Amino acid sequence: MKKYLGKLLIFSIPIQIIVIFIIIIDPYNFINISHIISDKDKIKVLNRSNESQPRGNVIWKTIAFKRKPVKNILIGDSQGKYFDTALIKRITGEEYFNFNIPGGSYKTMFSVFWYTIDHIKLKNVYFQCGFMNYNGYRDYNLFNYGIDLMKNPVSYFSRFKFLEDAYYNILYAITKNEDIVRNYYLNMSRKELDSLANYRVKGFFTKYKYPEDYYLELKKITDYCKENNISFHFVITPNYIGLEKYLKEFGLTEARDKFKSDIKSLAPTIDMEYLDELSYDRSNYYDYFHCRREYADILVRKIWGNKNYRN
Amino acid sequence: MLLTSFSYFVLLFAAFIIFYAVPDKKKWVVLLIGSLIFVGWISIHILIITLIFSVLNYFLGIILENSKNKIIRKKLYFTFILINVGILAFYKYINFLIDNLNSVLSLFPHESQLNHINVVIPIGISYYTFQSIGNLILIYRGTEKAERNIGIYTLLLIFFPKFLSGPVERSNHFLPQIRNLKSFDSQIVTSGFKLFLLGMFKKVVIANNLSEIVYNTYNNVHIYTGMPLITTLLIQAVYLYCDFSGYTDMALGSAKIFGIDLMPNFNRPFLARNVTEFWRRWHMSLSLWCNDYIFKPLMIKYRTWGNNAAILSVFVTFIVIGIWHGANWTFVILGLLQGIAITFEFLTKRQRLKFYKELPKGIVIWSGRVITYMFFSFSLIFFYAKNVENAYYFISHLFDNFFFKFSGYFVISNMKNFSLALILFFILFLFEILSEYGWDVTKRINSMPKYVKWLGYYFMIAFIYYYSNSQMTFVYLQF
Repeated sequence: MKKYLGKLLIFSIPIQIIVIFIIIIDPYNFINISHIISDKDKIKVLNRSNESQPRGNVIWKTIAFKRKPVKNILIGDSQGKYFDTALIKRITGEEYFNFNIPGGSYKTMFSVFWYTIDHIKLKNVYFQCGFMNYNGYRDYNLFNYGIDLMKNPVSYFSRFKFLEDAYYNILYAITKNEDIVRNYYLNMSRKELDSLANYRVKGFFTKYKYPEDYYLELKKITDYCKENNISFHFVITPNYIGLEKYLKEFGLTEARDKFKSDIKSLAPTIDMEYLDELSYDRSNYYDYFHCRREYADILVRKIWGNKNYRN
Repeated sequence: MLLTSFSYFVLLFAAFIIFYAVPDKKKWVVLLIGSLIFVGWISIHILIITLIFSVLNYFLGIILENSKNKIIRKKLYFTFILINVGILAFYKYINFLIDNLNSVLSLFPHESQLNHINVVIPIGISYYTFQSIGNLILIYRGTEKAERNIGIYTLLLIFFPKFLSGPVERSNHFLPQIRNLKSFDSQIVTSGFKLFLLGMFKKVVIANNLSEIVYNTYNNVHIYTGMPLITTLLIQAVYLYCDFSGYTDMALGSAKIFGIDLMPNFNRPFLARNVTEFWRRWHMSLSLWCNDYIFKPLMIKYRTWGNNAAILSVFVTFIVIGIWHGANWTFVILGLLQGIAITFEFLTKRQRLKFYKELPKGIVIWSGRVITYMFFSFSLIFFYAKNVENAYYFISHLFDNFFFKFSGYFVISNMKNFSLALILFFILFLFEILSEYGWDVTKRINSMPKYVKWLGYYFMIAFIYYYSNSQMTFVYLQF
């Protein structure tokens, strides 16, 4: 029996090597022992592709928030991912945590909210949301990536994606080749971006179902915040005007208006859509939904730099 | 706790170490504790129900054996079988019954509707109920003595490798092995690990990568027509086979690590030449159970009816097999279809044999295999569809908007993984064909140099690791 166990031990050497490699690189600071790669680089690596970005952001932010909860949070999807918390801190003097998840659905955002209140008494919540996901057919929950890891910590070693992340971390650390971490759309021409925008719009709007459940859950969240004295704001980020054509084409203009009236009935809403001439400028966006970082900074200054604006 | 989960590996490995560290006579205790942990890990509620069920059937077996009066014994026997069937029916079929009663009641104005009963179906109940009924039948027939050790009896029902999805074990096959557990034998243990690895490979690498098309189609069947439906029709039997046989191999491999042989469930089913033969090769532990405890007794009872006895027995047996899967009319139709096919084969056997004589043997064999596969895969529409209406939609739209492209919506998001899974399945199928024609694949693999074998194992582990990102449940877990 002992001899047999020895054989099994030898057989499992490659597995042991993988475990040690992941512990050393620790792509999400989950083990938090070894820090041979900086957090900045790890974040760059987890944003490297369309596949890794949603998964990586959920896992990174879930772990980071659990380790150091912050009472002011931003929740949302990729539209709010460029909201710079350092800039908000400079403006407000308060620490904020950006829990926006690229690709996140409403269900993802709901899970994020309930997760945060399990860890800290919140003070300010900015809930960035859009019409694109306010659709009963978009009912997945990306937050499961984070929850799965919390429930089953061993999956950090047993799931290939973590090894892949660790590999890209070490590859980037050694080569410093920016192509490894550059998300593909950053290199796209205007024409390619338009084609991507067109593709995405169709993906969002081809099938639509009014999401009664989402409205009820949003109500539950806003009620909870009222009861617990948590300041709560919805934030609607700008979309490029070109989107209107598609909304008309798919017969969804009324549904979009219903979305806005839904959320405005629940809590104060900062609606930045078609607010000023900047929001009409195509060059401020990647596709029709995602504004560029520079434009996001302007929006941050508008939201947090002016108290009246928030009320 | 899925058999593919890390917690299961930990349990299996811990049980393995302790099992071989304790004296032979105490080994069953290790398996019992492991099984209690396994079931309790799933749910304490299920553990309690299962334990009550085990204790109840333990005593029923003893009472049945002790009753000497023939008439009382017979009455007790039927009562005890009814108790078991009643428990199963309550948990699994009560709301189905209420739905159907409500449909009837709705025909009469002013009749109020019955409310659903809030019951959660205990996982594994279909498996352990059939096993306990099988044990009672054997005790009644006098071919087996009631087990007096309540721990060992409980193991018959909750032994952890087979608890979730079988095989449907026979007490006269399982209990003698538990009473005589053996010391460590490296060859047996290694073969157990290998079988486990093969099962996991089938499940994680092949079945999981084929699952997407099946789930996408059946979850939103009304948005598809033509090619996506036809592709699903062709793939769904392969998917089910890799999923279920993968699970079975993992269960059999886990048990083998402890020196226990569980009943096999599959014997190269896609090489069956007709539907009758198919059911001797597919889900064998269940079909054999139904054959021995439903089909044969019915045949004997109604033997004076001639061919009609066979037809009746076939239909009853397959309707039971159908509804064993779940409380839905789709499963009744699934069973009926098998019954119709087998009856057709039975009644036309002579004419078919006469016709086949005119044709080359190879064509007869392979066309039989293809037709059998197509029939089975077609009948699985009623296995996967959520209701009869969806199944009807599936069938009636198979040739609508027929283009050689996946028109409308995507059913396969990752074509590379899907193609790889298909290629791997065909390699596996090739091995099955070779085995069918007498080529001993296991022997050939075992005779290879150690480094080649180890490379093969690492190759399989690497594939499993690569595809381990999604936790896909097993299809047969729901039964």
